[in-house]
Amino acid sequence: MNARNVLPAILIVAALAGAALLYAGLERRAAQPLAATVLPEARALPAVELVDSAGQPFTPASLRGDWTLVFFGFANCPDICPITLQQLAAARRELGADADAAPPQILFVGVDARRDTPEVLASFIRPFGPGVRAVTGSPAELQALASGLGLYFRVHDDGSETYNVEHSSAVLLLNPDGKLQAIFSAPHSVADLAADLSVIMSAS
Amino acid sequence: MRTCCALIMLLLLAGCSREPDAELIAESVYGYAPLAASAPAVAYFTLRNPGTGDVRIDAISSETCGKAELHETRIDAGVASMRPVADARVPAAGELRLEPGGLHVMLMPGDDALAAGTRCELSVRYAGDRELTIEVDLLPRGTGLLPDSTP
Repeated sequence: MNARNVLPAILIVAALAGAALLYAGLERRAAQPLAATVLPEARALPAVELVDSAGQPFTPASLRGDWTLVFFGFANCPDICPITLQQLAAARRELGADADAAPPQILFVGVDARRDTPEVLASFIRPFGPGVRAVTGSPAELQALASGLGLYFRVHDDGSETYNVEHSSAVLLLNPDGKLQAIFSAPHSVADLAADLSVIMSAS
Repeated sequence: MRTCCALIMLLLLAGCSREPDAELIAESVYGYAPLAASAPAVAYFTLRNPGTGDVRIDAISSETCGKAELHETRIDAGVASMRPVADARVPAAGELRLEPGGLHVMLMPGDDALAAGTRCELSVRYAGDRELTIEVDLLPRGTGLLPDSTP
């Protein structure tokens, strides 16, 4: 190969290498979560004792083995709580079609200790299909769980039947070790939830 | 000076009490039955105002589905809460959208739960003595996507 042919060959090789690097960079960017905040180190949950929608004792340890999406709310909430559950169920269904791992289960935590009885919670989650669980508990246990997860709720129980409950709008993702792995802040989008779950779950 | 002030007051009063030059129109009407017997149902719709002046919503009520209240879901600093809304307005040549994650009508029937398939009649009173009747069929919640935008 003479000197006249070397320069074009070097340019072609450099262009190919550049294209490969660019492609790799785009791939890496595409694999980053869109909306979720992934914790650098997963955080363990407090050992609280709750009750599930079948009236059975529940501890966070029973979540181990599966990915879990957690959302705090209350069953008398007619708007944001059922909407969020509907979005999570849709993301779960979307993910289930082509995910390597099983889609995450959904855990609804009813923070309205007086009105969120196991029977009410069972009725509340029934339309969202399998893979959805609900738990509640005493105000103290619920508060301990919320604090451990960095969430907030406040029940404005004035004795009426229409009192308001404030609660965090974030959705949390627990890993199969039962530890907090990622946080999805509102507003939620089914497409972003499904895409991020796929990235986070396949990276672990 | 006094005459000028009186004229300004008259103009302001005229503006506040001006009769709307068009009727409100309800579109995209739907609702959901409650998920628990004790919980309220919810209704969503869009109110369109083809007129040239803003229209104030005075009250929303229902004779068939219990107490009705206009509420708003708000998310402030990551915390969701609901609050009654008393001063909703439909802008001139514009619309007021009641949609998931925002404004909505809560229907609280008391002891009788509202089942899916129930038709609720809502009465929207506006601009003093005007009234718009809206019929809302309550859908069951399900695993399908929401029929409208999501929050």
